[in-house]
Amino acid sequence: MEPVFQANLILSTLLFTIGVLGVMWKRNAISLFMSVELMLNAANLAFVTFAFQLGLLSGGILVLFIMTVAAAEAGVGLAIFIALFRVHRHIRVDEQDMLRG
Amino acid sequence: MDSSLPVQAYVPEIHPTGLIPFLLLLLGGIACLVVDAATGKEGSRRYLPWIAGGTLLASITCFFLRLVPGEVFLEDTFRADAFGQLASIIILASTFVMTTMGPSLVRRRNLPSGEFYTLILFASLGMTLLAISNELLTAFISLEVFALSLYVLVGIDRRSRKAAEACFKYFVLGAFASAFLVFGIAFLYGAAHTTFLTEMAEVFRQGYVESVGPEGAVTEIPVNTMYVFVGFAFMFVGICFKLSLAPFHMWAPDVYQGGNMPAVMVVATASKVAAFAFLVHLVEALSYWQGFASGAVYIVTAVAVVSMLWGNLAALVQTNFRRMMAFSSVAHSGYMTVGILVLVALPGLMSGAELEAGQLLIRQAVILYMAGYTVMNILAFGVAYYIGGGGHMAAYRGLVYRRPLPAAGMAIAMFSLVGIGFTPPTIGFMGKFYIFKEAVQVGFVGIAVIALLASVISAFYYLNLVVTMFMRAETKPAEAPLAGTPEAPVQVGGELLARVVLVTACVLIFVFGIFPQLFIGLGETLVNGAVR
Amino acid sequence: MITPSNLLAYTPIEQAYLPVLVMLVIALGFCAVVLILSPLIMKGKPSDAKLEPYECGIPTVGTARIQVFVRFYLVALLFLLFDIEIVYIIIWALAMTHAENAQVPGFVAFSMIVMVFYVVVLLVGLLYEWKKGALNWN
Repeated sequence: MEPVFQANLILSTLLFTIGVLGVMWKRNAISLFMSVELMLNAANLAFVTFAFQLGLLSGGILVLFIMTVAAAEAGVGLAIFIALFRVHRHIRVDEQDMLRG
Repeated sequence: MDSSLPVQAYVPEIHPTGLIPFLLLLLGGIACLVVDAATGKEGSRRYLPWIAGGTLLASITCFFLRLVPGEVFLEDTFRADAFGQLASIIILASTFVMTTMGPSLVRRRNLPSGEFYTLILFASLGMTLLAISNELLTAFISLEVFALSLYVLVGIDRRSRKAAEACFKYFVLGAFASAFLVFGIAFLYGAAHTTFLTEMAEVFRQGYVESVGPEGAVTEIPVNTMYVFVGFAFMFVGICFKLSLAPFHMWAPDVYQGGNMPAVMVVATASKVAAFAFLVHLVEALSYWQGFASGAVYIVTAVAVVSMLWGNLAALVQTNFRRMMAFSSVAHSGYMTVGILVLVALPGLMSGAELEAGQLLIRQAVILYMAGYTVMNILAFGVAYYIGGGGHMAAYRGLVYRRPLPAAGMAIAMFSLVGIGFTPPTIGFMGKFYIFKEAVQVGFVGIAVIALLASVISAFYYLNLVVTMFMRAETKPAEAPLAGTPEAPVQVGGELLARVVLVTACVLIFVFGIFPQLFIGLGETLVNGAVR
Repeated sequence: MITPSNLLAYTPIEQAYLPVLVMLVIALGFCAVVLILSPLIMKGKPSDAKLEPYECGIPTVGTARIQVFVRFYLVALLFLLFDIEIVYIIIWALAMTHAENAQVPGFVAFSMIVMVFYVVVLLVGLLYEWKKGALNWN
């Protein structure tokens, strides 16, 4: 059981790292948001892994709530992207530079 | 499959009165939605400010009526100690000020008033729950509730390109930060086998977790140090984003510049108070882990020092009032983080009753600072909003001669934001004094010196604004180029209420500055003299 | 009593994932066989019609990179938000109808009140978006 546990944690850390790199490198808002979702799901995997290893149920319940929050975030996020598209006609991140000092 | 359930069902203990202020906010928000859908555009503009403002005032009143118990309640999910209750009141006051600014903003920019007031109430609900939450998942959900509301409130002006960009940046970095927060929570859960902060403190104090194995055998699992640090580091990064602490502050200037002024005011004050209150509770629980201070002190010190120095230095060169306030808020978060630093180091230096007394002092210093920071920012942003000044420094040239009273209010806010070396003592001075005093007493003399130096730097740009207000406008009145822009002066209603709010803020700056014990005593009165 | 740890203990991890492994091997093997075999046995007589991407028999029109109408996103958003609430309702229903839980005094009444509150909140949201015309296609 121990190796599986460690493998899961490593996988979750890897997924999280991929998500972070995606947020830093991707230039399209949608891909950027997908990377954030990947990070959240990496955290979910870590929760489930810990819950199994410790023999607790609460980790699994936390995952459900985080999924809900992720869905709400997706809802608001996509709405914001649509609003941004309406005024800018594109959602490329590196061309958002109206606000400067 | 075995038919028995792993967990026996039970009816949870619900504190009957403790939830009332929060349920009020939720129901008020729903009522705003219903009234908005039922009445038309004009009707909702007329009724919703009253519903939203009334709900917020009623919720504050609940705290003063001592309906909220001064300890853990609702199955340990919430911990409304004096600190948390005062933080909640500060948050509600800040959102109330935003509600008073609402009618003029909604009318001027032709905003959907239903969404506007509903989101204010939902945001206050999330923020107050975060400030008193004792459980990490509850904290995360409350944080998301207010964060999602604030993203939309910042960008609610859909015709403004600047607002859309600010909203977008706030959302992307906010979502990024909350992913960090969740990942940190996962690892803390792995370390302590619980998400309740009070239980977590107990686990860390004894250093192991009692685990019941499949055969009913009780084993003691030692706490994994790596999980604690990974968990704390990730959660801290997530909260740093919300507090706009230095390496993670990049969203703040853009959001402050692009968003509408009332929403920016709440982002600057209430959301930070909520996140900071949670950070204090979190660090307090984690600091019982014996090896914690040795690692965390470096992280927290680095963030605090970089925030104080970078925030103030970057604010020096800003030509836009809103961006200046953004960097000033970075610096102020840095000062408050010095309080967190003391909290981290405290259990290594003392124990027992002495430790509890020390933690109480820190909590009081931090809450006083947060109250001061909130009042000063409400005053500064409020004056800027009501004179229609907005971003450009040019709008403040010669303000003293055109509108002396707002100019005086702005000057008071700026002097108080500097915080050092002025009499009579302002709340900005008292907050800094208490936090730095605690830092020196614990032995962080170097940090306190850096903080003082940073405050001296900050005097330059704050007083620069005051000087600007005294300069004669050179050729023509500064209103002329600004008329018709989104920042044009407020003409419709609400002037009286605005004056009342801003004068109250001025008075509070001096009252709590001269008698800080009044504010701290209020917190203890709220929880019936019980300290926790 | 079933806890996650002894659930896992009942089926060793090698066995639990064995079907997945078999599925993976079969899927990869099938693809490989088809991809390798078809160039070997076919007679190459290309024509314009044959080289076109096959969709459903109708001649292809325009480019595949078109903009999707914004309404689709709105519907997708609303679906997502009202879809995720099922997660809680299913668990609630399972917990409430379980024989052991039903005997706990006050549990059924309590969970009913909670669910009514939950559904009312959702209902207000639905009514609001209905009234605001978000469900209106035009």
